[in-house]
Amino acid sequence: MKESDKKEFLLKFYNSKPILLLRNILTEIIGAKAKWLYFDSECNLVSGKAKVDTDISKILTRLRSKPSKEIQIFTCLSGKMCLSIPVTQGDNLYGYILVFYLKCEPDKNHLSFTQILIDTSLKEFQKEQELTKLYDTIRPRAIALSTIHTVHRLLTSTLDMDELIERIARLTLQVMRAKYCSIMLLDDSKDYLLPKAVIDLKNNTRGKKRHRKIKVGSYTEGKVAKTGKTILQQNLVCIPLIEEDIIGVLVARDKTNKTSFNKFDLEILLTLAEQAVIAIGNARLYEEQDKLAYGSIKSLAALLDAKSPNTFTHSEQFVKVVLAIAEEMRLPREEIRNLRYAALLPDTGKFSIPDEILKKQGGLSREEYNIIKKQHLESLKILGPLEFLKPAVPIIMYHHERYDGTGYPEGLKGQDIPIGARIMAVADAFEAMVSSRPYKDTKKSISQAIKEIEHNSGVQFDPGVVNAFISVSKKPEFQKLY
Amino acid sequence: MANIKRLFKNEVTKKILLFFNENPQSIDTAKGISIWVGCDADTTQKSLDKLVKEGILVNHKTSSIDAYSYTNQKDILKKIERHIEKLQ
Repeated sequence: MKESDKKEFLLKFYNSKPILLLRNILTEIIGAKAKWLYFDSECNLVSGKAKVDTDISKILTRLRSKPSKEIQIFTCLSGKMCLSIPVTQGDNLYGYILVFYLKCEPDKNHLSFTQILIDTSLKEFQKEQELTKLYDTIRPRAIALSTIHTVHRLLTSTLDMDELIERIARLTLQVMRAKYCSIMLLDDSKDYLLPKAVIDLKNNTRGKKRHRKIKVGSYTEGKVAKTGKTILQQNLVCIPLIEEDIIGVLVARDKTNKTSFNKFDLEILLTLAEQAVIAIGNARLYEEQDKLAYGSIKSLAALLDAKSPNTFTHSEQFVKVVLAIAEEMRLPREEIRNLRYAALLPDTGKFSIPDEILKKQGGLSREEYNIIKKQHLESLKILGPLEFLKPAVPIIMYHHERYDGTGYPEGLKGQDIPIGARIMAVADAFEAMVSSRPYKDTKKSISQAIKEIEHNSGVQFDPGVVNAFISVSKKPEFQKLY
Repeated sequence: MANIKRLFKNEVTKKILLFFNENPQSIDTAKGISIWVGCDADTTQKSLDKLVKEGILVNHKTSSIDAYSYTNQKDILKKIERHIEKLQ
């Protein structure tokens, strides 16, 4: 134990409850006017006010020259007695409690009791101190570890790159208690860092300047991207994001409490960056898979369209309307992705329906309607082997269901119809009304089609989806489409 | 602006505020925070919801996890710090 720690330990011990209790008990026995002084093992005063008189000086000199681990009784010049109680633990002598000017001499039992109380109290006090120290050391680390674990869970809960990068930046701000965070990733040429997420709580002009792309090698970010070495400054910490090679940099600036970034901050940020890199890698893989899947679906749609244009697929506007409704309804990204796939192949179910029924003008006979219902399910089997399309198949399958349960193929009703299918039903009906088809006599105006959709809310269509569609139809982006 | 004095009257909310004041970098789930403050999960959740509503905590909600962190708003942080100083 360091000298300063030793002194602090003794001071705390002398002021601890058991010692105060001992003092109260002994005061009853030896008199209220007794003077209590507390010393370390070198006989330096630790606690208590003392004017070093001849008596005290004499006893201290004696204890210095002949340290004792036993309780001793001295007779002072005035004839009064003094008690020296050593504070010991095994071979270690921590200090002395000196009690001057006793009213009477304590008997042996009192002295034994005092010694036992001191020993036990010291043991307990030491244990308590160790536990406090352990608690003070471990608790912040455990909290930091729990934070990192939570960050890991938050980062791995999305595969959408934009959402992920934004989330990394927000979490960095929180964990670093910083006012600014930017995440820059290297472009394909690896010559420039492109800003992917910038959060500037101060929102000043310096922040705007940093939103530009940065050449590798220039500025702090560029230097870190070039060297792969972390930069830790008072108001900045910039670390490289390394997968196998450097993929970008993460920067945090300006602590909210105006203190400096320290090594602990750096340690936490490096751990967060490791999690971020794994999550970015996963999101990139997912993006690549999505591109492959989307490409395959587009090829399939093109093949079907070549066989019979506009029969199995719809316009680009249709896909945009479907996705706009889904965004308006704040559907989860995974659901929106499935809708995007389904919207490319909305009428694959028509594949094995005979042309004479498909292109028939006017109403269908009961028999023809039954053929459509049967063939609709049959046709969808061609999508079966495409694993990535599985979540999209129910959307395609059930988008001819009606909200009141009178649609096909299964007569599903209300919320039993998948949400994607309910969305596609509205967009499909709208598309059918506003576009010209060879087998259709008339087409409706946009406002007429919207009114028709509204009119069928709660009957053919989900009212929630209709409301979202109406909101979408009022947006300038929608008006540009038609 | 949140009524800090009123929030400190609730024992669990007080413990959560003291926890985040001491560990402003922390981001944790309701369950995690309930362990740090030594209160049961349900009561902790109620206090966390209240603190999010008051703008003192930020809720990081995803499909699989719901986590909480301390606000970055200087004025709120100062007010809480001042109140804690008074308590000591």
